[in-house]
Amino acid sequence: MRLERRLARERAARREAEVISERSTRRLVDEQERLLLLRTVGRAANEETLERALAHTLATICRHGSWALGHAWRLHPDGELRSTGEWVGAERFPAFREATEALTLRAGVGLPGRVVNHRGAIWLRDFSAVLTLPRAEAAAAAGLRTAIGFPIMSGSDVVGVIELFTPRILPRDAELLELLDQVGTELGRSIERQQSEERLRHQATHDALTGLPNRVMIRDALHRAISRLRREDDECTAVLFVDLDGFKAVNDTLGHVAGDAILKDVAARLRTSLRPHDTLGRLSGDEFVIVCESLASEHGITTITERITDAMRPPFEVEDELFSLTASIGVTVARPEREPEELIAEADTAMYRAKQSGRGHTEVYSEDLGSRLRRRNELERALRGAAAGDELRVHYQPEVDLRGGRIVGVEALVRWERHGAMVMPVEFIPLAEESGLIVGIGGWVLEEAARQAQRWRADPEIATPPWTSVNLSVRQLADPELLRRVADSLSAYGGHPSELLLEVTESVILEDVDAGLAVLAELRALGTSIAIDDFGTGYASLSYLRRFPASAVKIDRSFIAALDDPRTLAIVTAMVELAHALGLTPIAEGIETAQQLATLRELGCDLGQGYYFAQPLPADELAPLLRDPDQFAALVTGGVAPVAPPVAVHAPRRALARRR
Amino acid sequence: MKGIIFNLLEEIVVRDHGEDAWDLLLDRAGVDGIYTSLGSYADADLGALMNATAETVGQPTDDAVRWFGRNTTPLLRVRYPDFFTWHTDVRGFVLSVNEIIHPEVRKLYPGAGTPSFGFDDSHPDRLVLDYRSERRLCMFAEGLLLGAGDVYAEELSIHQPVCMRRGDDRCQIEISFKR
Repeated sequence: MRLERRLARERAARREAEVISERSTRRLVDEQERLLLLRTVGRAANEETLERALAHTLATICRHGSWALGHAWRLHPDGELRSTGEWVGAERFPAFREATEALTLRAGVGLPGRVVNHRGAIWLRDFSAVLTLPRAEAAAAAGLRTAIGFPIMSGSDVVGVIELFTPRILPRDAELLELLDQVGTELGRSIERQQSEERLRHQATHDALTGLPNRVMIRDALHRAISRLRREDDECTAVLFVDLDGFKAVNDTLGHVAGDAILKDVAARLRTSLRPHDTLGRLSGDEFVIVCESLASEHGITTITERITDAMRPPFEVEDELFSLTASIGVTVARPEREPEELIAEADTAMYRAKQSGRGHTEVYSEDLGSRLRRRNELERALRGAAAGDELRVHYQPEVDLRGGRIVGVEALVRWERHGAMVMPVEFIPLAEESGLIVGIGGWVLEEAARQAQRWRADPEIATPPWTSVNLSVRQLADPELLRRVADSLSAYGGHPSELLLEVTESVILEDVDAGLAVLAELRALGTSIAIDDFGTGYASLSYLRRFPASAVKIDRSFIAALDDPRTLAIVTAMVELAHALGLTPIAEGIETAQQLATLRELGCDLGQGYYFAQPLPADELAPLLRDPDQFAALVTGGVAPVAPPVAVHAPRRALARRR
Repeated sequence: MKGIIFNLLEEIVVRDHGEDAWDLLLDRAGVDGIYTSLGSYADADLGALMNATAETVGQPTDDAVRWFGRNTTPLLRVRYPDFFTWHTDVRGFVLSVNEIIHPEVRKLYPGAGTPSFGFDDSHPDRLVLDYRSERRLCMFAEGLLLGAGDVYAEELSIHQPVCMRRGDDRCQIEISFKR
């Protein structure tokens, strides 16, 4: 008996030793598994995308704890919990997945909502019996009995919730909950990092003001759209280039804050006029690009452009003021052989054409438009070469006193001699304006005219040297160097400012009234005279005319050509009278016939120029005319009887002196 | 084979037949009898012990293995009550083997080669286990299941339409629950 008791004691002792050993082994294994899990989650958190990090983590945890189903929720900034679509094991529970993904939860509602409030892991045992839970029924049907939810923490914020399910009823495991909280923090770090990367990516591909895709992203979107093009398709992909008309004026008048507000409004209006999958981006300033895929050919394009035009129609409200803006739209249709940048350039070209036909127009790009653009580019390159080389000339057209026939001034006109032939000014002057070349060319003309004036002054045979009229473009007026250029060209050749008449069109003050008027005032202050060129063709209101520091107006040739029309005659009559009333000297342009001359003399128009007297001539051909002061006396007095006897010819300075 | 299995067999034999019976079995099987729960021992030792048991009681080895299994389950309940108290019936208990019990077993006994079962629990009155193991201990599994019936006081009947010991590629243990 004693032996048996001893045996039993020995056996019990061995058993106890084994239990102790089992326990410590188990703790060790648990600890190792926890470490492994955390390390795996740590690695998962470094995955490139959040989706992959979540998927990897879910799979790891489910494997670790033998959970049948895992799912991740994202807590959005609007406070709504929505499925990330990341699941593990969902193939066994399709109905439960569907029920879950249809849900949008808020804090406090459902397991994930409770986790958000609790800010820690929660264990729900036999949770399908908790009928207040939104998915209790779905869980019961799926046979899921135990659930755990734990938060993904970014700093102190819950940014997501992971939930795990099993069909077994499991008792609460405090150690596991603690471990899962650590997992949630680890995952949160990944979310933080990815959010900052997303932010960076967004910043690199989006416009900060409107939040729209920028050029980089539009190019990408276009690239993908091009790769999806199929030749046999009835549908097409269109690229729209939208540019606001007159936005610069709004921006300059109201300031950038107001301008930015309008751009945001424009972006929103464009968005509403597009289909959800159309790509809308902002290139810069007031330029927007839209990529529309799967359009039902032309009809689809027209629908979209009309919707855009309509969307722009209601006035924009900024700082309690209402503004009307229109958009010029250029459209091109994507072809597989074209690069994204080429398509954007085509749409831009079309937009440019649209703008030329007025505000709020739409133009579709064509190969013809493209070849015109190429010709234009070619010409621009050539003009650049001409400005740098020796192909530009200045010709001079006499400005004649219509009462005595004396040449009182000459208008300096730039000519381009290319390969021995003259390029028409209408061809290259607008081009020079657009390209900005006009600033350099205009400066050169100023200097050349001043040099020529010096020669005429030095010519002993020219009794009264004429004043020189030089055209100034809008671009030149915006050139901060203008005043210096004018002053330099005069002083370099000993010219007097009063012998320089600077011609500007009404449009110079249309773009920016105050700035335009300020420059003109400075030129006036320098001592030069100002003439309003092409008078009557612009849109300047009479109130601007009142403020215009001019001493002469040049009546546009189009009025002179139509003088036999009674209405035109009435207008010219009024112009001459208006000029006189404002103390300005009227100068008629484009006089070609004796009749026109006679009529203008009858109206009392002081000065005139035109082929009837002389076409623009090279300086050496003009010199003989200048040497003969009575050259045109017979023209102005002969042929058609003058209505009034000739009066004394004004000296240039007096002619242009303001009579106020 | 983990030492715990041998310990359990020893416990049952000693409890039902006394200290000497165990020594007798060890001698008949020709094994040294030094088994500690955490150690790993040759599978052949268990085979020899079961054959010796069958010989001693004059029954087929299969019956002896099943008897051993059936007596093991209640002892496991004593040693590891949690695995049992989480469930209210045999079905729930059995279904937790793969996901709960065996992982836990592997924690207690690192290196334990626990089998994995395939389940078909689509029928309310039946549960089918797919068993694949080099050890071919389907009879032990049958016994453990019968023992679970004893623990949860359920009447079960078990049969194997498919069995590796009859040349099939796996065993299929079908448990029918009587209500």
